[in-house]
Amino acid sequence: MRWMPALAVIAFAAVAAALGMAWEYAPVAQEAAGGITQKIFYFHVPSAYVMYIGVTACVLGSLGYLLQRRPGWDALAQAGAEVAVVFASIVLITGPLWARKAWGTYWAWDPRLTTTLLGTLIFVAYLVLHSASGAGEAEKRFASALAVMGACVMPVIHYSVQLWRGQHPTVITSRGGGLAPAMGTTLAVSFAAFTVMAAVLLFVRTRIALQEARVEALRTQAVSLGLLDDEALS
Amino acid sequence: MKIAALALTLSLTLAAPLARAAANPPHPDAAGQRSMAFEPGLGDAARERVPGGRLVATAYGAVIVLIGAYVAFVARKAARVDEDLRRLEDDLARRGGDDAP
Repeated sequence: MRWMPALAVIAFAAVAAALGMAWEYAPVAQEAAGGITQKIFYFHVPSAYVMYIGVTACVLGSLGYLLQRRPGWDALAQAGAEVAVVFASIVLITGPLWARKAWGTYWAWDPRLTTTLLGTLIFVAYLVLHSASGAGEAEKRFASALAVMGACVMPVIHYSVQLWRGQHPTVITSRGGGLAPAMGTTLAVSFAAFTVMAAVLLFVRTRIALQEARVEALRTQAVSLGLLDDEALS
Repeated sequence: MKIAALALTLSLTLAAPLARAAANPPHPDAAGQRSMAFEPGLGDAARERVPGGRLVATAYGAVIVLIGAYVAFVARKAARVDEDLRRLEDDLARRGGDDAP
């Protein structure tokens, strides 16, 4: 995978450009929105979007694995869960930092915050179960089922701001307040950059997970054919 | 049995925050109540009670560290797969050499 560093550089450059644009180009918002901390918005929201992409990949991979038992599906599910957890962590760290200024507190048990935390914990549990399973087929199936069931919380996260009252604002939804033009441009660039980053991470991580599974399968096959000793599996 | 215990623990852990969120009844104008427009404002950093600049810097740092750490983790995995494959080839080649007449 000689092209991996080049892809990583492109993705990093895109995200760095978006972060730089958020800092330099986007204007400071009104105090009610958090003033300068509103700049967190330009990577907080795209990170949440990437979390959804990761969860979608994980659920598709898990469903595929449950139906066909092919390692490629499992690799996609694993990559999706990792990407979802990394970007959900960004959401859960940057959100409270913004909230400290805008709301006066780091955390509120707002339905959106609570369901996002819940969704993140579900996919952390998936990764723990998956990594603890080794090559266990049953555990991988259980992890896949957990991912499919856990994904049910995603629509709840998305629609929580429309169902329940709370502190988390709606800005870019159909019933949101809207953005100044420069802010909208910055957000669009950030969305594009984070999408590129997510695609690269998902693609590369899926390939690596698939190669890991293939190496393991080859080693097991070599041992079963008597070409290698049992110690080779350890 | 271990899996069942893990599933039960997980369900109970996750049920608590969900129950807390569900305690708020649905509201017909929830989105309207939360609606907010972001506009350019005249930020006065000197009068800030909460240091916004430090919070933004921490958030930027968190994004860079988390993405960087994950990329490093993926790169390490890639290197390890290459190493595993090379070792497997070496093992098979050595075994082939040992069995040769």
